Amino acid sequence: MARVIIDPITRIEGHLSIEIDVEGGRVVDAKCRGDMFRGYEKILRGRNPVDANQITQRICGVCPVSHGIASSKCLESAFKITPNKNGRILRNLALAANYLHSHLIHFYHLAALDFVDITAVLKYEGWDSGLNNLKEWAKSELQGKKDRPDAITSVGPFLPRYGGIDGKGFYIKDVNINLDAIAGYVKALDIRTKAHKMVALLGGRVPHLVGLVPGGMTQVPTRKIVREYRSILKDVEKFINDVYIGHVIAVAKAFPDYFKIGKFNNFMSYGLFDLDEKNEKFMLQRGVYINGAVEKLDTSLIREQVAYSRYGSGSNLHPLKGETDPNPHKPGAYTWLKAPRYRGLGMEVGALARIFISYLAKN
Amino acid sequence: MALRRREFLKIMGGATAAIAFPSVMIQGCKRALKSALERTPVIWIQAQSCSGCSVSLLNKQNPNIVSVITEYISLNFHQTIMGGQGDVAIRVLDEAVKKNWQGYVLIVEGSIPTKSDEYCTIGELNGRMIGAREWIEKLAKNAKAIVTVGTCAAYGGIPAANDRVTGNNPTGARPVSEIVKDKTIVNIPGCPPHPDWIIGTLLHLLFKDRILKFDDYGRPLLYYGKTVHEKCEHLTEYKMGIFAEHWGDPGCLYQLGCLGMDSGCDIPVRKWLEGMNSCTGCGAGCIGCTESDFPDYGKRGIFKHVTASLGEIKNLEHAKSRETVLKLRNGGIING
Repeated sequence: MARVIIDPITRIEGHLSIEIDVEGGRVVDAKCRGDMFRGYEKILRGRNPVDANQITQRICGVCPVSHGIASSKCLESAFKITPNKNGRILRNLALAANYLHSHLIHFYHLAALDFVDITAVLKYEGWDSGLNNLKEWAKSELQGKKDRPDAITSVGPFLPRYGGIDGKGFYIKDVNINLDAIAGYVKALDIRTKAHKMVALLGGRVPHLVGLVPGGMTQVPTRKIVREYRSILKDVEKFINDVYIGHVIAVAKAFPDYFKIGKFNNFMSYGLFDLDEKNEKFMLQRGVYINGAVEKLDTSLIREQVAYSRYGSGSNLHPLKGETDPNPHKPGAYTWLKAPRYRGLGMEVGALARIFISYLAKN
Repeated sequence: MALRRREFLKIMGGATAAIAFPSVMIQGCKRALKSALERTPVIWIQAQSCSGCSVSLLNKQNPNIVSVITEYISLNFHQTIMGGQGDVAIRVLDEAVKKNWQGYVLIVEGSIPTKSDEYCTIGELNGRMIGAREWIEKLAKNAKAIVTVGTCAAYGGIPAANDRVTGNNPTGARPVSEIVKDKTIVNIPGCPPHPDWIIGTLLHLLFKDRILKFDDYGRPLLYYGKTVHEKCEHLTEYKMGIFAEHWGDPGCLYQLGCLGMDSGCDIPVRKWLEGMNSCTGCGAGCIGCTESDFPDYGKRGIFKHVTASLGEIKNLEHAKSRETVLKLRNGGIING
């Protein structure tokens, strides 16, 4: 039996590693290890409840808006208040802008380097100053590195060249697609900053919005702000339609086998972009998809499993009752991540789940 | 190594420099810079962080983040943006330690757990998972400079806040200054810090002909020397005695718990994302994230205690939240 360990998994938010046991060419066991614990559940105890709106955003610096709005809604339900209409709309706009940012950063800056061969930039012959800059940089990273005083190591940690099992490499082979995607990587840095500008317009700043409070948002939506938001949105929209979608299709076409790997069974969506102030109607529907049918979401069926997680407290509890007592040396445990289950089933959440459920619910 | 004043201003991201420096000229100066400097290697380690500081750094404009990485510094390790995974990534840290590399800048983002190394591990060597504390202790030895980015690494921040029921922090999270005691540490606090502060301070450190001045908390005075209040958009309203009573009201935000008077930070004039907005400008107020007391401020917390009336509090659904709100309402200290 061979054990493969990839630690750390880079280009994600947080600390993750993967441990795989292989026997006779087949994976017999796999462990996803969350390698970091901060204890937000504990840190929040005994505080002014309004502070939770700020503290929970620090769970993740890429998606603080989602955590902040979840916390706002939670406080509203505890205080028995409803947000005002402006607040609801501003929250939707801030969240939507952050989604634009997250999709861009995920595709280009986090995931793309697994598909795109960044060394293709060495073959660039055009006149784009940004790409030529990158070319010079890549050259010095790869060739001159050994002799340069700033080289800590002979491997190019930013330009990995994974050969793959068959020696053919895992990357896209077409040089033009690679070059195009690299140009997209650089351009998307600007565009994601633009999406962040939209969030900051409404939330004061980003990451970690100061303007999110239970009851709505502190920013008064002046005409100037709405106009600015719309004008930046047009830039982002243009990039998405003209460049981003093309790149997604190009990557999808380069790896046709990937469509046959993995499967999906269960989806869950809490609902996104509120259409009323009562937390009941959403633009993207709330619901669960289990075994081919859409059902109503019942949050009381959610349980947190910690049997293999490093927590000494009880397993299979509803999040309201969970204790989250850390125990780094619990026998048999390997991760700081909990395993949430809905009616005992693992569920896929996120963008795909939301669209899928919305699509089915509307038909 | 010496930089001319104009180039220097440009790098510092100041507003005046941007005006005095059309983009056509920047291209030429970049070449000059490139030949003038050997890129300094940088190792950026994330311990108990949310990557918010790194995301904020990506918002750096003028010079943008690509040109910072390809022209000014040689970034050798950064978990959120580096291409390599697993061994390829961790080999950088391992070689830097084993081969006794000198002259790199160590940047730490996030606090460091001290109760057990298991609370935050980065990579595995020979079957042993290495804690963030161990990497930072080892890498700090030969580092040319140690820079903390964000309040967590500088002062502990939110991961180091106490569970107020037990009075303990769950993971014993500490700032870098309590792990590396024998070296000077440059702090760039903020939750998150403005990208200008990060790159500005870093380049200040690399170009030694300009000496930065620091305050008692190890922060560059250039960015943290004045309080938010002194530079606030609402200063006139404060002087006229106009105070906001609810979020969304016009006026000074002091009554809502704004911590601008106690926090060193230039955001009201620098603003987030190239003039888009600021913490005080959006009507929320300063949450004091650049200060060492963040987020506790003794028993005060970030916001002023709930301003609800007694009648409203009595209507709260859960007995526990009713109790908590009442306690906070009656026993709190507001702005010291």
